[in-house]
Amino acid sequence: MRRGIGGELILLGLALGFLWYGYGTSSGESAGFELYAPDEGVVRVVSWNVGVSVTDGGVALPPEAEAHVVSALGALAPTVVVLQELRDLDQLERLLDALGDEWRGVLGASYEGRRVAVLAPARALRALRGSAGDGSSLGFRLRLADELRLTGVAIHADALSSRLRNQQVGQAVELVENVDGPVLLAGDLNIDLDLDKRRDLFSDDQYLDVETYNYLAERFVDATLGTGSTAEPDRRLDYVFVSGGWCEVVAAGPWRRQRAPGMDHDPVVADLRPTAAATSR
Amino acid sequence: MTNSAIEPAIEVVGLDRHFGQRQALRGVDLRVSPGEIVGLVGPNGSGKTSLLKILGGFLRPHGGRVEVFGLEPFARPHHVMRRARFAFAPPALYDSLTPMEHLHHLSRIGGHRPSDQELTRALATVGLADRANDRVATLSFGMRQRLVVALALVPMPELLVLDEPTDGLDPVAVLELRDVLLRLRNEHGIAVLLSSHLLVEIEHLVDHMLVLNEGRTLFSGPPSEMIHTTLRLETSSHEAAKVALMNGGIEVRRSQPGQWLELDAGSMDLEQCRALLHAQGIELRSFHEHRPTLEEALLRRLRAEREVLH
Amino acid sequence: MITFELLKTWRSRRPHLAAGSIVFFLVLMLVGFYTYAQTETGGDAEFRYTFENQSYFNGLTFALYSFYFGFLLILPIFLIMECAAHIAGETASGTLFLLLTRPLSRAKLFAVKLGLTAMSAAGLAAGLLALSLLVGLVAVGWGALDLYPGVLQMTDRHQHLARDVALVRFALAVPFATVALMSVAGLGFLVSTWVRNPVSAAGTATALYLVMYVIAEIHFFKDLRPWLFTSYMPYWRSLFQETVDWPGLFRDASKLAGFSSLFLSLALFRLRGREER
Repeated sequence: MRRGIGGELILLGLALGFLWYGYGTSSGESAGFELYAPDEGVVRVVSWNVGVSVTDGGVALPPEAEAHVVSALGALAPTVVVLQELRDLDQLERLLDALGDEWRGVLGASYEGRRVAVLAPARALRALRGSAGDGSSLGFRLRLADELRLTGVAIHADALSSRLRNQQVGQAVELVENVDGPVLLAGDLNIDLDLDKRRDLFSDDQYLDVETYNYLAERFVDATLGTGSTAEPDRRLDYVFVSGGWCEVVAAGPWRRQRAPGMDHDPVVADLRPTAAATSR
Repeated sequence: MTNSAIEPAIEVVGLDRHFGQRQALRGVDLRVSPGEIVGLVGPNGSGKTSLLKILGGFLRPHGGRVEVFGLEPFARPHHVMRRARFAFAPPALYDSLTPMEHLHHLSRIGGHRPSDQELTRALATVGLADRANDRVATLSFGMRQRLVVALALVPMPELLVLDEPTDGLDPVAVLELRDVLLRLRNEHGIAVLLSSHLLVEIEHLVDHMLVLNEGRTLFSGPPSEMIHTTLRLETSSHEAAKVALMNGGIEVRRSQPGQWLELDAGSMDLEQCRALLHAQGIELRSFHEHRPTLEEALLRRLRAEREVLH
Repeated sequence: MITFELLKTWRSRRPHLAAGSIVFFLVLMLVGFYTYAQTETGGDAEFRYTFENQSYFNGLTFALYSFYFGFLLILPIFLIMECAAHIAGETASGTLFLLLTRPLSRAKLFAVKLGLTAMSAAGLAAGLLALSLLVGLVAVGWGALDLYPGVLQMTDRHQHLARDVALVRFALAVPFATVALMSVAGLGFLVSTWVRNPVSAAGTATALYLVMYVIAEIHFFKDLRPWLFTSYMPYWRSLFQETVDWPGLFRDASKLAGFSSLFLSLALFRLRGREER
């Protein structure tokens, strides 16, 4: 003795149809950066927090993971690399030796035992612009072509307090303020503004981070916007910002599955093609 | 019972139903034909409401066969409701609506388009015409009960199943309800299944009654068959008379020591009795037929059943 | 049957309660909005690097933020109450018997109540939005709609919509928001067919909604979030982008409709198969 279930079956059919369309078709979600050989003239920027997370915070790149970092950077063949959480000058030298003779690097001051570094081929890396007082950022100048000089700042806004992070970012921006020419700001900002993660909806921390992001967004273009998480667990913490107009973003995003054991960040890559106007300046 | 060739409104054969370990109905049979009023009687927990809810398709039978107008109620409840109307107790109504709004909207479900006169007539039938536009929240329990009956009458069903319809009604209203049901049967040929505690009403109203006790059929038949008329005699010596009657081959069914002896009706006439007792020197003081009420008969049955079961 | 259900709903005073609550909510929002604007633009900002300026606060911003919060927290609760009243309420009060003793199939009863709930959802969404816009117009004044990535997470980049464009997007938000609310209604119906006490049903459904809403907000549940309908509830906010991602919008709407249909299918199965004791 059963009652009909025609209505249920119709609704179930609708459910399957709707869910198939919703989940089964392309979500448009970025798969991140896919490795490829860029055209000549494309500026490949890599930002990578190579530190290892431990229960009470993070520690600098362990020596045993150096080879992995070198291998990944070798595959990417970047124009410029900004690293966060390097241990010391010896470690930077070992990395540069492994990358090849043409590579040069500069190391920032220590911030809680971890340092920011900029690595680039010797022909490109021209000068340091300065460093933020607390070691959280490092300014530099690259000469990418005869007519293209790029002023950059590598940053690791690592303070636990969002207020201090706000200051670190502000100081980093000051390093490249009033620069006449293309500007790059890359690094780990420790702020996650993903639209679908309002976990800290009512917290001051999130509020200040939002202010910080918008302070940057008012001045720069977020080159890796909408390309997904860069760090565990599901957070977008690493950014590449460029000043407007000098380049177009060819490809960008986190290069996934590149972490050595213990690492909690993917390398973030941005391939930038300078505009004709920028190269002819 | 009416002619079995007529399609019965209700036909139940060997109905079983349990709730967990508790057996609520066991092998119950019931047949209600058009134009017949059947009473459903039994103590609390005897399975009356379960039976009615199974007939309405609200509960699933666990054994046996249940058909209302040839349809399985649980499988096709709304088809059953095209021809049958159920009114369950206690009366559940929308407090914020008026009796007229209840009638107007509920009677339209299923496509009926009642005229205002039809609705007013239904309310008048149950004595609620003057409260037609008052909120139900302001009605007494008895008035709500009557409204439920009125709702069951629009549109006119072929089968009316009423669960305790006399609860909360005053004696006048009970009599009026009885008249309404009789008129429905006599004028419209409606089959009525009526569950009630008011045995006086059942006795005067129904053609057939089903008595349930602990889910079993205790009695099924016309009320008159349940009521056995007996002979009661009072004598000058209770015990001596009992012995004398038994020696004379007369079975004494019951006795109230010091008061009366009860024999099967027709087991002897007055003269025979007087002669038999006189021969033993016993004076016959009273000899009359005793007709118990339905309530007494039911209680007697229930006691007997209890003795058998326990 | 629809008119009967409408009459019952109207007389139950639930719509009045919802309207009163929405007005109260908007009053609080207005107070909060002015307080926030005052703090942000009155020179009280304690940190140095900020983007805030006075110009982007206007009646449309107010309406959007009011609708956003109201949509996520207030409308679902009223909708769940509506569902609980329709099924569990009728069951508990015994009036379900009154309906089912009429020639009315459970599927049709379900369909009528679902239709009425859909009307309620659309009415709640349209009512909240219309009232928000009205309050925004009267109290603040309309203008272009500028949205920045912010705490309210309406957008992940600066968006500028001219007033008329923004108003069209507001109008479009109602049907899309209704689709999202219907998934809450589906949940409400499902719980209401299992839990026969309306207060328990509304409480259970609200608790389930809030649990799923919170989990959808927590990034640690990365793998679980895509499978919760609450993750897609505010999907209509992408209407307030300069360039609307229509395929993405319809995909999310489809997911929500899928969840609604699934919940409703289970609810109907339960309602049709269950016994009424």
